[in-house]
Amino acid sequence: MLLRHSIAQLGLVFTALLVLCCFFYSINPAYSAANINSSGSTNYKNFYDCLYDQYDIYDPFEKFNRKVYPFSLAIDEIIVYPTTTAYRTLLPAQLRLKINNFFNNMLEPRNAINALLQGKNSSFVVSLWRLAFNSVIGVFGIFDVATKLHVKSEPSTFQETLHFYGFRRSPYIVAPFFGVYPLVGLVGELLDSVTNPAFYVTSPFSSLLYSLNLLRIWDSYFDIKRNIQLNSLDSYTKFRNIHEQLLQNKCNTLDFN
Amino acid sequence: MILLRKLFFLVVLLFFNFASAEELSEVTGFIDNLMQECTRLAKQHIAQEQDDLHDNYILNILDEYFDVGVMAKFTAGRYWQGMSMKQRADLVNFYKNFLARNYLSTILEYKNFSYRIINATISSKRGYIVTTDIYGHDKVFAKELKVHYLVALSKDRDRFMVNDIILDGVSVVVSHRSDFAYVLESGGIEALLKQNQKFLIKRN
Repeated sequence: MLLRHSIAQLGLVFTALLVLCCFFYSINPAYSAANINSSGSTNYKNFYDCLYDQYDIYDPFEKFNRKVYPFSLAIDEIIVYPTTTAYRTLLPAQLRLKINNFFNNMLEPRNAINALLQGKNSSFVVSLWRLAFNSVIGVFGIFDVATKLHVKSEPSTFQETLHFYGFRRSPYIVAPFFGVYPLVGLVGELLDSVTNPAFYVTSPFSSLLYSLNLLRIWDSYFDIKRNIQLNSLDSYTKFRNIHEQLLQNKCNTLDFN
Repeated sequence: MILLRKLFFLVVLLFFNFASAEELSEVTGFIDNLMQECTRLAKQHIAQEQDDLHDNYILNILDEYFDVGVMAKFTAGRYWQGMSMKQRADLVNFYKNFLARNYLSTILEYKNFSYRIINATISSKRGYIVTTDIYGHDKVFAKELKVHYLVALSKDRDRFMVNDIILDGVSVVVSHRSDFAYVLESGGIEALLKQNQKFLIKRN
């Protein structure tokens, strides 16, 4: 118990340090926010300007990252893909769906906190409503009753919140199991895990919980990662570009809807 | 006199409104046809489960519905200007194969899907944006994807052509452009075309 608390505190200190690092990177005056639609409104002229201008991707460690990248790919090939394939083969789809629902329900507190921090009041209410409803009626979230009642999940992450508060310029790094990832994204992932109730489970089943969560995350990204690696000329650049596009789209800096 | 002028403006406004409404319905019909072709392609895949048989079909879809020349030009970026006519033709051919491989794998991820056209809007610069929702009907995992088609008139202005697809916020040509840029910067057009073999699709 004491050990778990110490790890949690260490995690928070580490996260705070990383946030500071990101802050110093983000205040770089060279950054131009010209391609950001600050009003967040639908503006197709702006949409084209944003989309077809080269993204201002900040990757000062590219040379080093490219040297590390093959190792990250090797880890995927040796550990991630075979384990995910085994997970898919051994567990029936219905069971995997229930596991997914259970862990997605545990992400609702994160969604609620981030929605609140980003001023998305309706998403905040939706997340709380889903958490309460699925936890009680859906037996700890195993059954996603809320979606069946047309209350769809509105995921919101700390990476988006950091982006919302101006931490937009962050260097890309290559991390094992994550691949090409912006530093601010990794900080976001750390904060996400701290707000996940599964992080605080101390029962003997905690290892099983962590493993299952990891496997279902790998499972959900398996097809898209494989597709990018097989069908691109330079997967490093492609992953980086897709990250940038997804983030800008999620943060409504490009509004397609 | 003032009343007449107002009436005239009203008629002009209505005319343009009707004209744009007609255009939008044409664009919607065009995307509807494309989606029906894709549904057919995915169903064929379920029946035959052989990717090679679909290559010809998807190349025909690309010829008929996609402005591959415009897409390849954008993907090449500033390198396009320095290319000879032959290099440009080779690049367009290469890009068609590349797009087919990428588009095919995305469609086949959604083996059994239905779609809904949400709306079509006029874009200020380059034509029209058609928004669609795609629902994958996997046995257990239901997938949902928002797809925006950027449609413009062809060079001869005689038919609509797709200029870009945005899958859940990720533009196909923008990601291809970044993908190509690294190869073009390091080895030029020759290095890029050498990769052709990897993506080559033979017509039957």
